[in-house]
Amino acid sequence: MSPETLLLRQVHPSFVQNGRPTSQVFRPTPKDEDKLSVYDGDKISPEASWTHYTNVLAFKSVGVLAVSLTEVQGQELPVIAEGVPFLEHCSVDFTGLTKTDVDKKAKQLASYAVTRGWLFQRTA
Amino acid sequence: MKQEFFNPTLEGERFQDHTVPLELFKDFSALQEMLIEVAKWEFRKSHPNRERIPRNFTSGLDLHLEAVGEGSAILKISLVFASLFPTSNLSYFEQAKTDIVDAVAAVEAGRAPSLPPRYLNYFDRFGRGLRSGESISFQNGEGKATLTPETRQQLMRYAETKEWTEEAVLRVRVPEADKGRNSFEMELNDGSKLSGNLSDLYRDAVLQAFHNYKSGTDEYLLVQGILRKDRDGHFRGFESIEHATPLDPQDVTLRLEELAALQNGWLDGTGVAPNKDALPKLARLFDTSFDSDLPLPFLYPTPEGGLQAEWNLGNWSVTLEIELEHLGAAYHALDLKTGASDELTLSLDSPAEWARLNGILTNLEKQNVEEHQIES
Repeated sequence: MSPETLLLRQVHPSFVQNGRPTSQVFRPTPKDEDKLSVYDGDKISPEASWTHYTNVLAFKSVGVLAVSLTEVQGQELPVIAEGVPFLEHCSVDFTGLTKTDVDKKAKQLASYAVTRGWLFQRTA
Repeated sequence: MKQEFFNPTLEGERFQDHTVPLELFKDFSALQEMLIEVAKWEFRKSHPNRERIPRNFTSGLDLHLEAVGEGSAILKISLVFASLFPTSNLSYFEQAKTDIVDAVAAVEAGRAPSLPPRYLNYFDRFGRGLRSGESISFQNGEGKATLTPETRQQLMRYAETKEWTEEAVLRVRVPEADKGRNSFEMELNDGSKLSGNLSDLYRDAVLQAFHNYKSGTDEYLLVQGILRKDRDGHFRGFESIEHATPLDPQDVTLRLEELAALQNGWLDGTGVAPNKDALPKLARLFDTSFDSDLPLPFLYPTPEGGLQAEWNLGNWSVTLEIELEHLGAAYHALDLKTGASDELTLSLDSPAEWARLNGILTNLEKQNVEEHQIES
């Protein structure tokens, strides 16, 4: 991974209103155990990650947003390239942070991602 | 000559300044008509051998609003006579008043009203202007009888009409518009359809919504008017449409209706569905308590079964995480440029806390406008 590596995040349909994603997209959900799942953009394209997420894992996604490794590390969040349960899988680790800190970092990451724009969007 | 006759108390947000909206006067006009007809009925009961009501039974007799007093809003309604002395028929009007108040008290207590169904039909118009949470109370002996949208609905069930009307505001899309027939079709979110007349007053808005149908943008209309309902509460159509205007794409009620459709497990197997019973109250609170000069929030479900309202106000990313059961809310704002942040907890059940939220957001909005002015 390089500083420019993009970490790809799938966006649930209920997390978008009138084209605007919620900052919750970059906040780990309770099932994530403080680890935000992303795809390593060096290993898979945004469209291929969406296809994998919706077809192989059978989850819902309306598209793909991304933050760079530099942006994540700028928030002092470690990135773990686990490679499991699939090769391209990585986690952004929010372990040990207070809810306020999680919210702050999630908002900042969402802002970077929204500025970058959608890397892939499902066609209607 | 006049005589104090009714002192109904109007309760609800619209009456807090001891004023009464003019549109509610239509309701009291219907009350006067009901009073006269019930008084005639009382006369006929007392004179079973008379075929006709005396010619001068109601002549020179009128209900007048004399004053609006404090106590939310207390109306002083007097019976005014053209003559110097009260008419000899006054007792029938007194009895009619008792009959009407008794009918309201009966349904409140879960009993059938003794007033014949044809007179209960007047409740189609008397009480129609009441909104959710509003009421009209009448003195009833030592207690009171209170007409609310719910008790009015009960009264209409005992009336002999197959349909009744209600003032309604609906959020609709327009799948069809026919300029030739001067009509259009409205589609509600549950898929049901209603038809309406294409008036010049709102023709442009309707045709624009028709043009945008299923485009995903600017396709909704806010339609306000008198809606006919059948005895099962199903919409039958609009009797009249007063306003039809394009709906704000971030309309809170519409968004909450969408979110009410979520089921448990909505987030790929996890995710608690928002409590559907709590959503209409939150929609009403946004409607009545959120400053209309501020931008409407984006609204999203949270995995825990709550909602998150979000605003982008300049550099500020603002969120309000709402817990639906007790309407507690966690406010958090982050300045994305400087990293400065602010947080507090609020109760959305309290008007004072809404005022506080409005004040905070207004300040951020002003800051945003000032920064734009400096930059330009």
